Amino acid sequence: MAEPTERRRLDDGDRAPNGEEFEVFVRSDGSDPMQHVGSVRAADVDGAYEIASRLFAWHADDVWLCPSAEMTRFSTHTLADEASPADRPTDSEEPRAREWS
Amino acid sequence: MISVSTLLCDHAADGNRLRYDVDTGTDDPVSDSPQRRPVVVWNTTNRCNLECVHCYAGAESEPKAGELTTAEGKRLLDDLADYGAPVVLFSGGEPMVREDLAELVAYAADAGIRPVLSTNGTLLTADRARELKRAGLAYAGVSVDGLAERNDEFRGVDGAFQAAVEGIETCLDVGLKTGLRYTVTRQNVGDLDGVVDLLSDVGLDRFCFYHLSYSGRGETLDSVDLDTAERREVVTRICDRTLEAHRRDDEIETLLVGNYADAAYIVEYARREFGDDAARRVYERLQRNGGDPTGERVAAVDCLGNVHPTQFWRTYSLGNVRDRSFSDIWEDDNNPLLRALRNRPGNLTGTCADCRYKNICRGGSRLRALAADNGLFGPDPQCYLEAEERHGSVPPTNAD
Repeated sequence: MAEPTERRRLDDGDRAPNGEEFEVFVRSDGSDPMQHVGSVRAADVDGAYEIASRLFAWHADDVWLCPSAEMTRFSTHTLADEASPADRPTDSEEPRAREWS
Repeated sequence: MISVSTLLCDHAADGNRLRYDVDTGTDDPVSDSPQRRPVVVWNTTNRCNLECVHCYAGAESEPKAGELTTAEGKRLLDDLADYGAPVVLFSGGEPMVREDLAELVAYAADAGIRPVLSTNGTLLTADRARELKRAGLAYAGVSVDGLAERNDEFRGVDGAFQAAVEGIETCLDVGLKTGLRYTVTRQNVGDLDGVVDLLSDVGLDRFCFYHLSYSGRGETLDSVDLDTAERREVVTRICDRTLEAHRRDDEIETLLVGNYADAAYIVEYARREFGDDAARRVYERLQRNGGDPTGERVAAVDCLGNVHPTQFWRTYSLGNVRDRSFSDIWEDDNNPLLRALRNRPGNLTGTCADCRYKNICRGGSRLRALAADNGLFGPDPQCYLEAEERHGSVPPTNAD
Protein backbone atom coordinates (compact mmCIF):
# COMPACT_ATOMS: atom_id res chain seq x y z
CA MET A 1 0.00 0.00 0.00
CA ALA A 2 1.18 3.57 -0.72
CA GLU A 3 2.59 5.77 2.06
CA PRO A 4 -0.01 7.95 3.78
CA THR A 5 -0.23 11.39 2.20
CA GLU A 6 1.51 14.26 4.00
CA ARG A 7 -0.79 17.24 4.14
CA ARG A 8 -0.61 20.69 5.65
CA ARG A 9 -3.44 22.64 7.16
CA LEU A 10 -3.66 25.94 5.29
CA ASP A 11 -4.22 28.97 7.46
CA ASP A 12 -7.24 30.53 5.85
CA GLY A 13 -7.69 33.43 8.19
CA ASP A 14 -6.64 35.90 5.52
CA ARG A 15 -8.27 34.22 2.54
CA ALA A 16 -11.20 36.62 2.60
CA PRO A 17 -10.23 39.51 4.88
CA ASN A 18 -13.63 41.17 4.61
CA GLY A 19 -15.61 37.94 4.51
CA GLU A 20 -16.69 38.65 0.98
CA GLU A 21 -15.47 35.51 -0.83
CA PHE A 22 -17.76 32.50 -1.35
CA GLU A 23 -16.72 29.09 -2.65
CA VAL A 24 -19.06 27.79 -5.36
CA PHE A 25 -20.14 24.19 -5.91
CA VAL A 26 -22.46 23.11 -8.73
CA ARG A 27 -23.86 20.02 -10.36
CA SER A 28 -25.54 19.78 -13.72
CA ASP A 29 -28.22 17.37 -12.54
CA GLY A 30 -29.22 15.48 -9.44
CA SER A 31 -27.28 12.36 -10.30
CA ASP A 32 -23.92 14.19 -10.43
CA PRO A 33 -21.61 14.93 -7.50
CA MET A 34 -21.18 18.54 -6.44
CA GLN A 35 -18.18 20.09 -8.14
CA HIS A 36 -16.06 22.98 -6.89
CA VAL A 37 -15.87 25.60 -9.66
CA GLY A 38 -14.06 28.44 -7.91
CA SER A 39 -15.24 31.35 -5.82
CA VAL A 40 -17.15 34.59 -6.23
CA ARG A 41 -16.76 37.89 -4.45
CA ALA A 42 -19.83 39.59 -3.06
CA ALA A 43 -20.97 41.45 0.02
CA ASP A 44 -23.31 38.67 1.16
CA VAL A 45 -24.60 35.27 0.16
CA ASP A 46 -27.46 36.72 -1.88
CA GLY A 47 -25.02 38.75 -3.93
CA ALA A 48 -22.79 35.70 -4.27
CA TYR A 49 -25.73 33.63 -5.49
CA GLU A 50 -26.61 36.27 -8.07
CA ILE A 51 -23.07 36.21 -9.49
CA ALA A 52 -22.78 32.43 -9.37
CA SER A 53 -26.11 31.88 -11.07
CA ARG A 54 -25.17 34.28 -13.88
CA LEU A 55 -22.00 32.30 -14.46
CA PHE A 56 -23.31 28.76 -14.00
CA ALA A 57 -27.11 28.73 -14.36
CA TRP A 58 -26.76 27.54 -17.96
CA HIS A 59 -24.89 24.50 -16.67
CA ALA A 60 -26.10 23.72 -13.18
CA ASP A 61 -29.28 22.56 -11.52
CA ASP A 62 -27.86 23.01 -8.05
CA VAL A 63 -25.62 25.75 -6.68
CA TRP A 64 -24.10 25.60 -3.21
CA LEU A 65 -22.19 28.46 -1.62
CA CYS A 66 -19.89 28.50 1.38
CA PRO A 67 -18.01 31.47 2.84
CA SER A 68 -14.35 30.93 1.94
CA ALA A 69 -13.27 31.77 5.46
CA GLU A 70 -15.41 28.89 6.76
CA MET A 71 -13.53 26.29 4.69
CA THR A 72 -10.71 24.39 6.35
CA ARG A 73 -8.23 23.15 3.80
CA PHE A 74 -5.79 20.28 4.16
CA SER A 75 -3.48 20.06 1.18
CA THR A 76 -0.31 18.51 -0.18
CA HIS A 77 0.31 21.73 -2.13
CA THR A 78 3.25 23.67 -0.69
CA LEU A 79 3.02 27.25 -1.89
CA ALA A 80 1.51 28.82 1.22
CA ASP A 81 3.77 30.09 4.01
CA GLU A 82 1.04 30.04 6.61
CA ALA A 83 0.43 26.33 6.95
CA SER A 84 1.01 23.81 9.65
CA PRO A 85 1.60 20.07 9.41
CA ALA A 86 -1.69 18.25 9.75
CA ASP A 87 -1.92 15.36 12.16
CA ARG A 88 -2.61 12.12 10.41
CA PRO A 89 -5.90 10.43 11.17
CA THR A 90 -5.64 7.95 14.04
CA ASP A 91 -6.01 5.20 11.49
CA SER A 92 -3.12 6.05 9.19
CA GLU A 93 -4.40 3.79 6.45
CA GLU A 94 -6.01 6.48 4.32
CA PRO A 95 -8.71 5.13 2.06
CA ARG A 96 -7.48 7.16 -0.91
CA ALA A 97 -4.21 5.24 -0.87
CA ARG A 98 -5.87 1.83 -0.99
CA GLU A 99 -5.82 -0.30 -4.07
CA TRP A 100 -9.53 -0.98 -4.38
CA SER A 101 -10.46 -4.11 -6.21
CA MET B 1 -4.14 43.81 -27.22
CA ILE B 2 -4.22 44.80 -30.86
CA SER B 3 -1.25 46.48 -32.49
CA VAL B 4 -2.56 49.12 -34.86
CA SER B 5 0.95 49.91 -36.05
CA THR B 6 1.69 46.27 -36.93
CA LEU B 7 -1.61 45.68 -38.66
CA LEU B 8 -1.71 48.90 -40.65
CA CYS B 9 1.98 49.77 -41.02
CA ASP B 10 3.85 46.43 -40.72
CA HIS B 11 5.62 47.83 -37.71
CA ALA B 12 7.81 45.21 -36.06
CA ALA B 13 7.75 45.21 -32.26
CA ASP B 14 8.91 43.00 -29.40
CA GLY B 15 5.38 42.10 -28.35
CA ASN B 16 4.47 40.79 -31.79
CA ARG B 17 6.06 37.47 -31.01
CA LEU B 18 3.16 36.87 -28.65
CA ARG B 19 0.50 39.06 -30.15
CA TYR B 20 0.70 37.69 -33.66
CA ASP B 21 2.71 34.53 -33.02
CA VAL B 22 5.80 35.90 -34.69
CA ASP B 23 8.63 33.46 -35.15
CA THR B 24 11.90 34.90 -33.96
CA GLY B 25 14.61 34.97 -36.57
CA THR B 26 12.27 35.57 -39.51
CA ASP B 27 11.29 38.71 -41.36
CA ASP B 28 7.67 37.64 -41.40
CA PRO B 29 5.81 39.62 -38.71
CA VAL B 30 3.28 36.82 -38.37
CA SER B 31 3.61 33.06 -38.10
CA ASP B 32 1.16 30.20 -37.73
CA SER B 33 2.16 28.81 -34.33
CA PRO B 34 -0.33 29.80 -31.64
CA GLN B 35 0.51 31.19 -28.19
CA ARG B 36 0.29 28.09 -26.03
CA ARG B 37 0.41 29.56 -22.55
CA PRO B 38 -1.17 32.68 -21.04
CA VAL B 39 0.49 35.94 -20.20
CA VAL B 40 -0.01 36.16 -16.44
CA VAL B 41 -0.91 39.44 -14.76
CA TRP B 42 0.12 39.29 -11.13
CA ASN B 43 -1.56 41.96 -9.03
CA THR B 44 1.15 41.86 -6.41
CA THR B 45 -0.54 44.19 -3.92
CA ASN B 46 -3.78 46.03 -3.37
CA ARG B 47 -1.91 49.00 -1.98
CA CYS B 48 -1.54 52.14 -4.05
CA ASN B 49 -0.19 55.64 -3.48
CA LEU B 50 -2.92 57.15 -5.71
CA GLU B 51 -6.73 57.01 -5.62
CA CYS B 52 -7.79 56.62 -9.26
CA VAL B 53 -11.54 56.89 -9.79
CA HIS B 54 -11.54 54.18 -12.49
CA CYS B 55 -9.20 51.66 -10.78
CA TYR B 56 -10.23 48.17 -11.92
CA ALA B 57 -8.61 46.64 -8.84
CA GLY B 58 -10.31 48.92 -6.35
CA ALA B 59 -6.89 49.57 -4.82
CA GLU B 60 -6.55 51.18 -1.40
CA SER B 61 -3.92 52.96 0.67
CA GLU B 62 -3.18 49.86 2.74
CA PRO B 63 -2.25 46.34 1.61
CA LYS B 64 -4.82 43.57 2.03
CA ALA B 65 -4.13 41.13 4.83
CA GLY B 66 -2.89 37.87 3.37
CA GLU B 67 -1.10 39.19 0.28
CA LEU B 68 1.37 36.70 -1.20
CA THR B 69 4.75 37.01 0.50
CA THR B 70 8.12 37.15 -1.25
CA ALA B 71 8.64 33.43 -0.72
CA GLU B 72 5.16 32.56 -1.93
CA GLY B 73 5.64 34.83 -4.92
CA LYS B 74 8.82 33.03 -5.85
CA ARG B 75 7.08 29.66 -5.62
CA LEU B 76 4.35 31.04 -7.86
CA LEU B 77 6.96 32.23 -10.36
CA ASP B 78 8.58 28.78 -10.28
CA ASP B 79 5.22 27.24 -11.10
CA LEU B 80 4.58 29.73 -13.91
CA ALA B 81 8.03 29.04 -15.34
CA ASP B 82 7.51 25.27 -15.20
CA TYR B 83 4.18 25.75 -16.94
CA GLY B 84 5.76 27.86 -19.68
CA ALA B 85 4.06 31.21 -19.05
CA PRO B 86 5.92 33.53 -21.42
CA VAL B 87 5.36 36.83 -19.62
CA VAL B 88 4.48 37.96 -16.12
CA LEU B 89 3.06 41.47 -15.78
CA PHE B 90 3.68 42.88 -12.32
CA SER B 91 0.70 45.04 -11.49
CA GLY B 92 -1.26 46.24 -8.48
CA GLY B 93 -2.50 48.34 -6.76
CA GLU B 94 0.81 49.96 -7.44
CA PRO B 95 3.53 47.29 -7.65
CA MET B 96 6.30 49.82 -7.00
CA VAL B 97 5.19 50.06 -3.37
CA ARG B 98 6.43 46.50 -2.85
CA GLU B 99 9.97 46.69 -1.58
CA ASP B 100 10.70 43.22 -2.97
CA LEU B 101 9.66 44.13 -6.53
CA ALA B 102 13.17 44.09 -8.00
CA GLU B 103 13.87 40.78 -6.23
CA LEU B 104 10.75 39.24 -7.76
CA VAL B 105 11.50 40.69 -11.20
CA ALA B 106 14.99 39.21 -11.07
CA TYR B 107 13.59 35.87 -9.96
CA ALA B 108 11.14 35.82 -12.88
CA ALA B 109 13.85 36.76 -15.36
CA ASP B 110 16.19 34.06 -14.01
CA ALA B 111 13.36 31.53 -14.31
CA GLY B 112 12.95 32.38 -17.97
CA ILE B 113 9.76 34.47 -17.79
CA ARG B 114 9.77 37.92 -19.40
CA PRO B 115 9.01 40.38 -16.58
CA VAL B 116 7.08 43.55 -17.44
CA LEU B 117 5.51 46.22 -15.24
CA SER B 118 2.30 48.20 -15.10
CA THR B 119 2.72 51.29 -12.93
CA ASN B 120 1.40 54.77 -12.30
CA GLY B 121 4.99 55.94 -12.79
CA THR B 122 5.07 58.28 -9.83
CA LEU B 123 7.58 56.17 -7.89
CA LEU B 124 9.97 55.58 -10.80
CA THR B 125 13.02 57.35 -9.46
CA ALA B 126 16.31 56.96 -11.29
CA ASP B 127 17.63 54.56 -8.64
CA ARG B 128 14.58 52.31 -8.79
CA ALA B 129 14.39 52.38 -12.57
CA ARG B 130 18.06 51.34 -12.77
CA GLU B 131 17.49 48.65 -10.14
CA LEU B 132 14.57 47.21 -12.11
CA LYS B 133 16.47 47.33 -15.37
CA ARG B 134 19.39 45.52 -13.75
CA ALA B 135 16.94 42.96 -12.39
CA GLY B 136 15.86 42.19 -15.93
CA LEU B 137 12.66 44.20 -16.30
CA ALA B 138 11.83 44.25 -20.02
CA TYR B 139 9.18 46.95 -20.11
CA ALA B 140 7.34 49.47 -17.94
CA GLY B 141 3.88 50.66 -18.98
CA VAL B 142 3.03 53.95 -17.29
CA SER B 143 -0.58 55.08 -16.82
CA VAL B 144 -1.44 58.66 -17.67
CA ASP B 145 -5.10 59.51 -18.20
CA GLY B 146 -5.15 63.09 -19.37
CA LEU B 147 -3.18 66.29 -19.25
CA ALA B 148 -2.16 67.57 -15.82
CA GLU B 149 -5.48 68.89 -14.53
CA ARG B 150 -7.59 65.97 -15.81
CA ASN B 151 -5.07 63.29 -14.86
CA ASP B 152 -4.63 64.58 -11.32
CA GLU B 153 -8.39 64.79 -10.88
CA PHE B 154 -8.69 61.14 -12.03
CA ARG B 155 -5.81 60.02 -9.86
CA GLY B 156 -6.93 61.89 -6.78
CA VAL B 157 -3.48 63.35 -6.12
CA ASP B 158 -2.09 66.72 -7.19
CA GLY B 159 1.21 66.41 -9.02
CA ALA B 160 0.58 62.84 -10.20
CA PHE B 161 0.81 63.88 -13.86
CA GLN B 162 4.16 65.60 -13.49
CA ALA B 163 5.52 62.69 -11.45
CA ALA B 164 4.38 60.17 -14.08
CA VAL B 165 5.93 62.16 -16.94
CA GLU B 166 9.16 62.38 -14.96
CA GLY B 167 8.96 58.62 -14.39
CA ILE B 168 8.66 58.06 -18.13
CA GLU B 169 11.61 60.36 -18.78
CA THR B 170 13.61 58.50 -16.13
CA CYS B 171 12.93 55.16 -17.82
CA LEU B 172 14.00 56.57 -21.17
CA ASP B 173 17.15 58.02 -19.56
CA VAL B 174 18.22 54.69 -18.06
CA GLY B 175 17.36 52.72 -21.20
CA LEU B 176 14.30 50.92 -19.84
CA LYS B 177 11.68 50.37 -22.54
CA THR B 178 8.54 52.21 -21.57
CA GLY B 179 5.15 53.13 -22.95
CA LEU B 180 1.94 55.00 -22.20
CA ARG B 181 -1.24 53.37 -20.85
CA TYR B 182 -4.25 55.61 -21.44
CA THR B 183 -7.78 54.55 -20.51
CA VAL B 184 -10.08 56.53 -22.80
CA THR B 185 -13.31 57.89 -21.33
CA ARG B 186 -15.70 60.69 -22.24
CA GLN B 187 -13.93 62.83 -19.65
CA ASN B 188 -10.40 62.55 -21.02
CA VAL B 189 -10.85 61.88 -24.73
CA GLY B 190 -10.23 65.56 -25.42
CA ASP B 191 -6.76 65.34 -23.85
CA LEU B 192 -5.62 62.31 -25.84
CA ASP B 193 -3.83 64.20 -28.62
CA GLY B 194 -2.19 66.55 -26.17
CA VAL B 195 -0.83 63.69 -24.05
CA VAL B 196 0.51 61.83 -27.08
CA ASP B 197 2.13 65.01 -28.42
CA LEU B 198 3.70 65.83 -25.07
CA LEU B 199 5.07 62.34 -24.51
CA SER B 200 6.28 62.05 -28.10
CA ASP B 201 8.27 65.20 -27.48
CA VAL B 202 10.05 63.59 -24.52
CA GLY B 203 10.94 60.59 -26.70
CA LEU B 204 8.19 58.04 -26.00
CA ASP B 205 7.30 55.80 -28.95
CA ARG B 206 4.79 53.28 -27.55
CA PHE B 207 1.17 54.19 -26.85
CA CYS B 208 -1.48 51.79 -25.50
CA PHE B 209 -5.09 52.95 -25.45
CA TYR B 210 -7.46 51.08 -23.15
CA HIS B 211 -11.21 50.87 -23.34
CA LEU B 212 -12.92 51.24 -19.96
CA SER B 213 -13.42 47.99 -18.08
CA TYR B 214 -16.49 47.68 -15.89
CA SER B 215 -14.75 46.35 -12.81
CA GLY B 216 -13.43 47.64 -9.52
CA ARG B 217 -14.21 51.35 -9.23
CA GLY B 218 -14.79 51.38 -13.03
CA GLU B 219 -17.92 49.31 -12.43
CA THR B 220 -19.89 52.43 -11.60
CA LEU B 221 -18.49 54.57 -14.38
CA ASP B 222 -20.50 53.45 -17.39
CA SER B 223 -21.91 57.01 -17.55
CA VAL B 224 -18.46 58.31 -18.52
CA ASP B 225 -17.85 55.55 -21.03
CA LEU B 226 -17.75 56.55 -24.68
CA ASP B 227 -20.85 56.02 -26.76
CA THR B 228 -20.69 54.28 -30.13
CA ALA B 229 -20.11 57.41 -32.19
CA GLU B 230 -17.43 58.70 -29.81
CA ARG B 231 -15.68 55.32 -29.81
CA ARG B 232 -15.63 55.10 -33.60
CA GLU B 233 -14.27 58.63 -33.77
CA VAL B 234 -11.44 58.04 -31.29
CA VAL B 235 -10.37 54.69 -32.77
CA THR B 236 -10.36 56.28 -36.23
CA ARG B 237 -8.24 59.10 -34.85
CA ILE B 238 -5.75 56.63 -33.32
CA CYS B 239 -5.50 54.77 -36.63
CA ASP B 240 -5.09 58.05 -38.54
CA ARG B 241 -2.39 59.25 -36.17
CA THR B 242 -0.52 55.98 -36.51
CA LEU B 243 -0.55 56.13 -40.30
CA GLU B 244 0.47 59.78 -40.34
CA ALA B 245 3.39 59.12 -38.00
CA HIS B 246 4.68 56.18 -40.02
CA ARG B 247 4.34 58.10 -43.28
CA ARG B 248 6.79 60.65 -41.88
CA ASP B 249 9.09 57.81 -40.70
CA ASP B 250 8.16 58.27 -37.06
CA GLU B 251 7.79 54.58 -36.25
CA ILE B 252 5.61 54.77 -33.17
CA GLU B 253 3.89 51.68 -31.82
CA THR B 254 0.19 52.07 -31.06
CA LEU B 255 -2.04 49.47 -29.47
CA LEU B 256 -5.70 49.17 -28.59
CA VAL B 257 -6.63 47.16 -25.52
CA GLY B 258 -9.74 45.78 -23.90
CA ASN B 259 -12.31 45.76 -26.70
CA TYR B 260 -11.96 43.31 -29.58
CA ALA B 261 -14.55 45.10 -31.69
CA ASP B 262 -11.39 47.05 -32.50
CA ALA B 263 -10.22 44.04 -34.52
CA ALA B 264 -13.23 44.18 -36.81
CA TYR B 265 -13.09 47.96 -36.99
CA ILE B 266 -9.45 47.91 -38.08
CA VAL B 267 -10.28 45.44 -40.86
CA GLU B 268 -12.95 47.87 -42.03
CA TYR B 269 -10.54 50.77 -41.66
CA ALA B 270 -7.93 48.93 -43.74
CA ARG B 271 -10.51 48.23 -46.40
CA ARG B 272 -11.45 51.91 -46.61
CA GLU B 273 -7.84 53.09 -46.66
CA PHE B 274 -6.05 50.40 -48.65
CA GLY B 275 -8.63 48.15 -50.30
CA ASP B 276 -9.82 44.58 -49.99
CA ASP B 277 -6.48 42.78 -50.27
CA ALA B 278 -5.06 44.74 -47.35
CA ALA B 279 -8.23 44.16 -45.34
CA ARG B 280 -7.99 40.44 -45.96
CA ARG B 281 -4.37 40.43 -44.82
CA VAL B 282 -5.27 42.31 -41.63
CA TYR B 283 -8.10 39.87 -41.02
CA GLU B 284 -5.78 36.89 -41.35
CA ARG B 285 -3.33 38.38 -38.88
CA LEU B 286 -6.12 39.01 -36.42
CA GLN B 287 -7.25 35.41 -36.76
CA ARG B 288 -3.82 34.39 -35.49
CA ASN B 289 -4.11 36.92 -32.68
CA GLY B 290 -7.12 34.97 -31.50
CA GLY B 291 -9.58 37.63 -30.29
CA ASP B 292 -10.51 38.44 -26.73
CA PRO B 293 -8.01 36.49 -24.60
CA THR B 294 -10.06 36.05 -21.40
CA GLY B 295 -9.55 32.59 -19.93
CA GLU B 296 -7.13 31.63 -22.69
CA ARG B 297 -4.14 33.79 -23.51
CA VAL B 298 -4.36 36.06 -20.46
CA ALA B 299 -4.67 35.01 -16.84
CA ALA B 300 -4.48 36.93 -13.60
CA VAL B 301 -3.38 36.12 -10.08
CA ASP B 302 -4.51 38.65 -7.49
CA CYS B 303 -2.63 39.71 -4.38
CA LEU B 304 -4.32 36.98 -2.31
CA GLY B 305 -3.47 34.23 -4.80
CA ASN B 306 -6.86 33.99 -6.49
CA VAL B 307 -6.67 33.10 -10.18
CA HIS B 308 -9.00 35.10 -12.47
CA PRO B 309 -9.86 34.64 -16.15
CA THR B 310 -8.51 38.17 -16.70
CA GLN B 311 -7.22 40.89 -14.40
CA PHE B 312 -10.52 42.78 -14.78
CA TRP B 313 -12.75 39.87 -13.70
CA ARG B 314 -12.37 40.40 -9.97
CA THR B 315 -15.69 38.93 -8.82
CA TYR B 316 -14.93 35.40 -10.01
CA SER B 317 -11.92 33.26 -9.19
CA LEU B 318 -11.09 29.88 -10.72
CA GLY B 319 -9.11 28.82 -7.66
CA ASN B 320 -6.28 29.91 -5.41
CA VAL B 321 -2.59 29.19 -5.90
CA ARG B 322 -2.25 28.48 -2.18
CA ASP B 323 -4.53 25.47 -2.76
CA ARG B 324 -3.46 24.21 -6.19
CA SER B 325 -0.77 25.03 -8.67
CA PHE B 326 -1.59 27.69 -11.24
CA SER B 327 -1.20 25.14 -14.02
CA ASP B 328 -3.66 22.74 -12.38
CA ILE B 329 -6.22 25.53 -11.99
CA TRP B 330 -5.75 26.83 -15.52
CA GLU B 331 -5.81 23.42 -17.18
CA ASP B 332 -8.90 22.22 -15.30
CA ASP B 333 -11.17 21.24 -18.17
CA ASN B 334 -13.83 20.15 -15.66
CA ASN B 335 -14.64 23.79 -14.98
CA PRO B 336 -17.73 24.39 -17.15
CA LEU B 337 -17.21 28.16 -17.33
CA LEU B 338 -13.60 27.83 -18.45
CA ARG B 339 -14.64 25.28 -21.07
CA ALA B 340 -17.38 27.57 -22.36
CA LEU B 341 -15.07 30.60 -22.47
CA ARG B 342 -12.64 28.61 -24.57
CA ASN B 343 -15.39 27.66 -27.00
CA ARG B 344 -16.88 31.11 -27.26
CA PRO B 345 -17.77 31.60 -30.94
CA GLY B 346 -20.19 28.69 -30.76
CA ASN B 347 -21.83 30.03 -27.59
CA LEU B 348 -22.31 33.69 -28.53
CA THR B 349 -25.86 35.01 -28.71
CA GLY B 350 -27.69 38.12 -29.91
CA THR B 351 -25.96 40.32 -32.46
CA CYS B 352 -22.74 38.36 -31.97
CA ALA B 353 -24.25 35.04 -33.07
CA ASP B 354 -24.19 35.80 -36.78
CA CYS B 355 -21.52 38.47 -36.81
CA ARG B 356 -18.92 37.78 -39.46
CA TYR B 357 -16.19 38.98 -37.15
CA LYS B 358 -16.93 36.72 -34.20
CA ASN B 359 -13.84 34.62 -34.85
CA ILE B 360 -11.48 37.57 -34.52
CA CYS B 361 -13.42 39.28 -31.73
CA ARG B 362 -14.85 36.31 -29.80
CA GLY B 363 -17.63 38.50 -28.50
CA GLY B 364 -15.42 40.99 -26.71
CA SER B 365 -15.67 41.38 -22.94
CA ARG B 366 -17.83 38.83 -21.10
CA LEU B 367 -17.51 41.01 -18.04
CA ARG B 368 -19.16 43.98 -19.74
CA ALA B 369 -21.81 41.70 -21.25
CA LEU B 370 -22.67 40.54 -17.72
CA ALA B 371 -22.57 44.09 -16.35
CA ALA B 372 -25.10 45.13 -19.01
CA ASP B 373 -27.37 42.17 -18.14
CA ASN B 374 -26.83 40.76 -21.63
CA GLY B 375 -25.98 37.32 -20.28
CA LEU B 376 -22.73 35.39 -20.13
CA PHE B 377 -22.56 35.03 -23.93
CA GLY B 378 -24.55 38.09 -24.94
CA PRO B 379 -23.16 41.12 -26.77
CA ASP B 380 -20.53 43.38 -25.25
CA PRO B 381 -22.24 46.78 -24.82
CA GLN B 382 -19.04 48.44 -26.04
CA CYS B 383 -19.32 46.84 -29.49
CA TYR B 384 -19.39 49.75 -31.88
CA LEU B 385 -19.76 47.99 -35.23
CA GLU B 386 -22.62 49.00 -37.47
CA ALA B 387 -25.06 46.39 -38.73
CA GLU B 388 -23.70 46.42 -42.26
CA GLU B 389 -20.18 45.86 -40.92
CA ARG B 390 -21.26 42.82 -38.91
CA HIS B 391 -22.89 41.07 -41.83
CA GLY B 392 -21.48 39.62 -45.04
CA SER B 393 -18.86 37.09 -45.95
CA VAL B 394 -15.58 36.48 -44.17
CA PRO B 395 -12.95 37.43 -45.03
CA PRO B 396 -14.20 40.56 -46.75
CA THR B 397 -14.24 40.22 -50.51
CA ASN B 398 -14.39 42.70 -53.36
CA ALA B 399 -18.10 42.04 -53.60
CA ASP B 400 -18.78 43.22 -50.03
